[in-house]
Amino acid sequence: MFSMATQLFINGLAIGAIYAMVGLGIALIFRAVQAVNFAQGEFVVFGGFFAITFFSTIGLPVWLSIICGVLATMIMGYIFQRLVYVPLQRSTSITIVVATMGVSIALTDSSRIIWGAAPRLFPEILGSTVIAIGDLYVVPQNLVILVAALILFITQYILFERTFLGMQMQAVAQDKETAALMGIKVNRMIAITFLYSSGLAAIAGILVAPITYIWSTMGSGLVQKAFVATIVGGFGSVPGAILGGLFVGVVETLCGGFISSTYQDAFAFIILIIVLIVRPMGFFGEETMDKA
Amino acid sequence: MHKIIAFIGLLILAILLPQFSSAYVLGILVLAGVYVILVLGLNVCLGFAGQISAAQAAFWGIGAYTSAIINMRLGLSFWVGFPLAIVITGLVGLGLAIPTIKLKGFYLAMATIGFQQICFLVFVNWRPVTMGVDGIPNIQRPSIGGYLLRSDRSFYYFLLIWVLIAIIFSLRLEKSKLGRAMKALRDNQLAAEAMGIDTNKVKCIAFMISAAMSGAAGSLYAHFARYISPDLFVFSTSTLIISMLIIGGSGSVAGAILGAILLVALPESLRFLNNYYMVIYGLGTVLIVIFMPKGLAGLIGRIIEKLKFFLEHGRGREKVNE
Repeated sequence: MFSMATQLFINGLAIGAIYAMVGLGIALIFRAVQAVNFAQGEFVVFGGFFAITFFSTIGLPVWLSIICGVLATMIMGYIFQRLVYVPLQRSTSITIVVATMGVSIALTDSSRIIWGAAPRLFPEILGSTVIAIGDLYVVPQNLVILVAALILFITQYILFERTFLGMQMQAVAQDKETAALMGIKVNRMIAITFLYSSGLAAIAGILVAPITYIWSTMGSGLVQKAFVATIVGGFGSVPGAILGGLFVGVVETLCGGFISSTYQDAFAFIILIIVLIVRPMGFFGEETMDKA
Repeated sequence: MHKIIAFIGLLILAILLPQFSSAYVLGILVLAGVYVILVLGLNVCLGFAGQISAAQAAFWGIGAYTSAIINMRLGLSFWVGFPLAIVITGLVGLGLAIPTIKLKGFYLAMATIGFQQICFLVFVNWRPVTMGVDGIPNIQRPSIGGYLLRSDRSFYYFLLIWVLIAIIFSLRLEKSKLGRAMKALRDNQLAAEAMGIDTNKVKCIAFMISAAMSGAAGSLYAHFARYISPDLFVFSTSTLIISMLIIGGSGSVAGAILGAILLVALPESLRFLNNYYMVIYGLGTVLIVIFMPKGLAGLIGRIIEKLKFFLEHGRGREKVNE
């Protein structure tokens, strides 16, 4: 019983780290442009597929395929920002949401046309031999995900809190006009945010590919879980997105293991509805007065 | 005046169209009618009251399953299932509105997405009642006074009556005190409250009407298709319904109708693109949103304004010449 719970906990943390990475991208984009991005899940899919293509079709080594995959997705994210967000800058948020949903549909089917409907596998970085620690059996890829997530989050913390670039990005997130008056290039910062967020999504895709495979329609399910994670953590908050992701992953996996596996996907949404009713600002959100 | 003429013209077209169309096209026409009711339902919630709902496909499903189960298990006709589907879906809508009353914008969208996903999982997994992925077969067609609507064509005309009722209801609602209260809530909640509008009540009613209309569409669809399964009542259908409304023009009854018809017809007319049609369709949505910010209704409104201006301008010049 105990070891099963620990086992599920580790699996949950790993999948939670994936939700956190996707959710973090959504949160950063939201902070920069005050609009949500429903196409974020498709960047996960494209990131995974790009890396698979570089590895098995072109024949690059694993580490180089990962870097190329991430770079290719970042370029996609930049193009997406130029073509969809820039023209819609002054539109209402629901209009932007519908536009990103359109992009999501188009990208989902593009990936099906390019790579086919069958799920594809990316090699596990540490091999597939299960590691036994006492009576715990850990899939190595789960450890890879957790370590990678940890390194990523620490790097990001240093980048955002300790560098000049990070401070400029924060200034843009807080107040665009004042930031522009201070001589910060607002549009460049927004473009960097999109580059970074799509890179994060690509890394998530490459990390999750050995466990769940990558297939063309996986994006929408993943992006919804990531939304749940960001709301549970506190929408627009960076630590909120990370902890929200881990929390949703763990609770969902534990509930799936102990309560009902058929309804596993429902638990995330049940958590969401409870959080929205009890504490709509999430764990880390600030309680803001509504100006209506 | 031109609105009434356009409406009558479209109505005559809707009446005549099935006489010239094949069985396949007729099926699409019926589906378009069902979607018109669904989008009009969302228009009450999102268009009039400004409350987003990404759970319209779930309400559609609840209506369809209610009616289908009443018909299959209890052997009762459409005329029992239809009103019950409306009432039950309306109550479920109210049940979703009450706990989410304080949420708005993206938070409300996510809560309704959550509800949509939970409903879908229940449709799939509650096998004793919904028969899971197998779906419910052999649902009976409705009959009117002993005349069974066996042919698709007769069902089309039957549906057309309900579409008309939904349109007239929407137009009446828009002009009513409740409709104006909804628009006030959408435009500025604080100001609406200051004017003495009970915004919580208006939100609940908007959700309830919106859900009930989807329930009606569900019942009609179930008795037309005679078979329902969960794969239609998914999140992507909810996003399709939202896209239809935004593309048509949110808040406009004419826009809701146009959006629904366009997005049912568009994939059919893009079939020649084979594999690529969903890609083109997704990109088309993005382009329409970027270049027609007020939707089709806004575009047509602008064209009419320009024409009017042109005509009046022309007339004015004639007077000067005289």
